[in-house]
Amino acid sequence: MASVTYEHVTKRFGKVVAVNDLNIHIEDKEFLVFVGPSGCGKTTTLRLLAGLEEVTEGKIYIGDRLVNDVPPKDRDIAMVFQSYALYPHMNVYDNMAFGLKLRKVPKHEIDRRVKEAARILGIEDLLDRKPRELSGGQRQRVAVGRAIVREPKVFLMDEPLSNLDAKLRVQTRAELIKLHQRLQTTFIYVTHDQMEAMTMGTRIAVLKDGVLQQVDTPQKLYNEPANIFVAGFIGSPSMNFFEATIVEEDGKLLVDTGTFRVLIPEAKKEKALPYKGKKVIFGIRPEHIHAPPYVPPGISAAHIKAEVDVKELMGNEIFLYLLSGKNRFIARVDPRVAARPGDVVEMVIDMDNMHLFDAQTEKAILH
Amino acid sequence: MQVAFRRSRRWAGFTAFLFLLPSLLLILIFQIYPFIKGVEYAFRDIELVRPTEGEFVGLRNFIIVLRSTTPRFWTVVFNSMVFTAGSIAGQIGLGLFFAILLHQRWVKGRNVFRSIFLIPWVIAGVIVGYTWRFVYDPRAGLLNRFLIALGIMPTPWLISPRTVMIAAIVTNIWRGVGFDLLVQLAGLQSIDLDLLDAAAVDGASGTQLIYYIVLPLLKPFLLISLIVDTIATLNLFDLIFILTGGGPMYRTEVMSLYMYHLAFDQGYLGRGSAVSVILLLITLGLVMLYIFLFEEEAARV
Repeated sequence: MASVTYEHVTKRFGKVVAVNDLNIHIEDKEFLVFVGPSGCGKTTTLRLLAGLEEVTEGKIYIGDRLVNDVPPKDRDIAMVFQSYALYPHMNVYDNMAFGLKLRKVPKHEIDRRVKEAARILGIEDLLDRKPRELSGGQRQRVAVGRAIVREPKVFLMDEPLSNLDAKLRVQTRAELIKLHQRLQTTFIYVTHDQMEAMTMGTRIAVLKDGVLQQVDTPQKLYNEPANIFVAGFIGSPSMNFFEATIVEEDGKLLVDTGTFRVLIPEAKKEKALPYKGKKVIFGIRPEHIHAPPYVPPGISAAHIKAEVDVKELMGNEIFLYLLSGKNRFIARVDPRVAARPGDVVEMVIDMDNMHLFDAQTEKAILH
Repeated sequence: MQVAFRRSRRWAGFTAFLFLLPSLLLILIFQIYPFIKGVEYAFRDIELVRPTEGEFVGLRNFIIVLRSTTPRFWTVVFNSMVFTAGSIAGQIGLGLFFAILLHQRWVKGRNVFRSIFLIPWVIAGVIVGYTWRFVYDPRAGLLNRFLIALGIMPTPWLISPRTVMIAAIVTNIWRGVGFDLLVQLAGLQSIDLDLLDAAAVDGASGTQLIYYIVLPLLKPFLLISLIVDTIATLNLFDLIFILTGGGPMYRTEVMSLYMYHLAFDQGYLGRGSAVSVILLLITLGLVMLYIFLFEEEAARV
C-alpha cells in the first residue's frame, strides 16, 4: 500500500513526446483511472511507473521512495497486461506462483496465497490448466490472480478488459471494483473507454497527446470539464458544441449561435461578461436537451426550433439527431416523444447545465 | 452436372500429377534409387575395381567394419560423437548468445550482423577448410602469429594429436554458428514482449528471465537447431577432409571420412556402404531421441 507521485515527468521516444510534464499525486488506496484516446500516453505513463520504460525527465515516487533508477523487480508493483501475458509454458498455478517463487517466499505460503486468490476469483478448478486451454475470461482472471498473490503496494492494470466481450466486460468491471474494496490497495488503471473510467475510478485523469487535461472525481469531470476535449470525451453520446458569440440585449447576456439565441442564467452571467462580443464555444450535453412536453420542472428553459434528422430508439430513451441551420446536435429525450424524421420540433435546452469554452484556448469559461 | 463435376475433379487430379511428374522422377532417380543401391551395396562383397560384380554376403561387411583395428571402428564413432557434440554445443551456445545480443533493443543494423554471421555458412566447406588451414598453419598461420605477438607459445594445431580435434571443432563452429543465430533470433522474435515485461514486473532478473521464460519458449527452435546441426555435423565431409583428412593418427577420422577411405582409398565399396548405413542409423536414432526428450519435457512442464 502506497501513494504514487509523478513530478514533472516527461518521456520522449526519439523526437516523439509520449508523456509531457506530468504532475499527479495518487493517494494510497485510491482507484485512479488514466483515460484518453489511443496514443495519448496513458500506457506509457503506466509503464514508466512499472519501470518498463525509463523516465526522460522528472521524478516518480512510490510512497516516499524515488524509483527512477529502481528496476521493475524491486518496485513492489504488480501489473495486469492487456494481452494478459500469461506464461504459455506454465500452468495456472505456476503462472500465479512465479513472482513469489522468484522472491523466495516459502512454499506453504505460496500455496496458501495462490489458493486464496484462486478462491476469490473462482478459478480453483483451473490451476492445472495451461493458458491455451482457457477462455478469454478465464485468462483475464488468472492475470488478475497473478497480480493479487503478490500483495503488491500498487496494482497496475493496462486495459485489462478490452479483450473481453461486452457482457463479460460489464461483469468483470463490477468484480474489479469489489476487488479494490476488498484489497484496500492503490489501483492504477488505464483504459480508452470513458464508461469504464467513469464507473471504476475514484478519480480519473484524462490525457491527450501526453498532456494531462484534468484529474477529478467522475462527477466533477462530468459536471465541470476543464476544457473542450474533456467535455467531449466524457459522456456518451458526446456533448454538443456550437460556435457562438456572447451578445448583450436589454441588460441580459445571450449565447448567439447564428441560428438560435439562448439566455444565459443570472447565476452564470458574471463569468460570461468578459467574453461579451467574443467568439466562444457553447456546449450542452444531449441529456440536457428536452422535448416538450417531457421537460423537467424548475430548469432555466431556453426554447429553440430544430428539424429531426434521425431518430434512434434505445428503449429506455430516444436519441434525436437534430438540425438547426448549420448546427447539428443530439438530444437524449424521453422515450414517449413522438417526433418523426422531417418534423420541425421545439426543443428545450436546460441552460443551468450549459458550458462555455474559450474558442481560442478551448478552456472552460463557465459550467 | 454432378458427373461432369466429378470427371473434372479427376481430370484436375491427373493434371496435378502431370505437373508433379518431373520432380517425382528426379527424386526417384537421384535420391531414392541411389539410397536403395547404397543400402544394397552394404550387403554385397563389392569393390571399386569391379563395381558390377559382388555377391550377397549378408552382414559380413558390417562384421568386418565393426572388427577393424586400423582404426578401430569405435574410435571412429567416438571421434564423430566428440566432433558433433562439441560443434553443436558451440554452435547452439554461441548462436543463442549472439541472438540474444542482437535481439537487444539498442542494437542497430541487426540485419547486417545477421548477414555477416551467415557468410561462413554459405561458403563451400572446401574453402572453409583451406582458409582455416592457413589460420592454423604452424609458422605463417594467423593464430600462431597472434599468440607469438602476445608472448604465448605457438602450437602446431593441426599436427598435434592433442589439439587437432579442438581445432576442427572450432572451425566447424565458426562455419555453422550463423545458422543457429538465425533460428534462435527468429525464435526470440516470436516471443511476446509482454511476457518479458510481465516477468520483469514479477521480479525476474536478466538471467532469470532467460532461464525461466526465454529458454522454455525457445525450445521448439532449439530442437530445430539440434536436429539440423546433428545431421549436418555427423555427415560433414568436405570441411574436415580438407582441414585434417582424418589425421593425425586417426584423431579426427570421423565416420564420413572413414567411409570415404574404406570405399574409395581402399576400394571396399561394400564396407564403405556398411559404414554409411550405420551412420544413417545413428543419425536417425539421435534425432528420434531428441524429439522424444523434448516432447517428454513439454508434456511434463
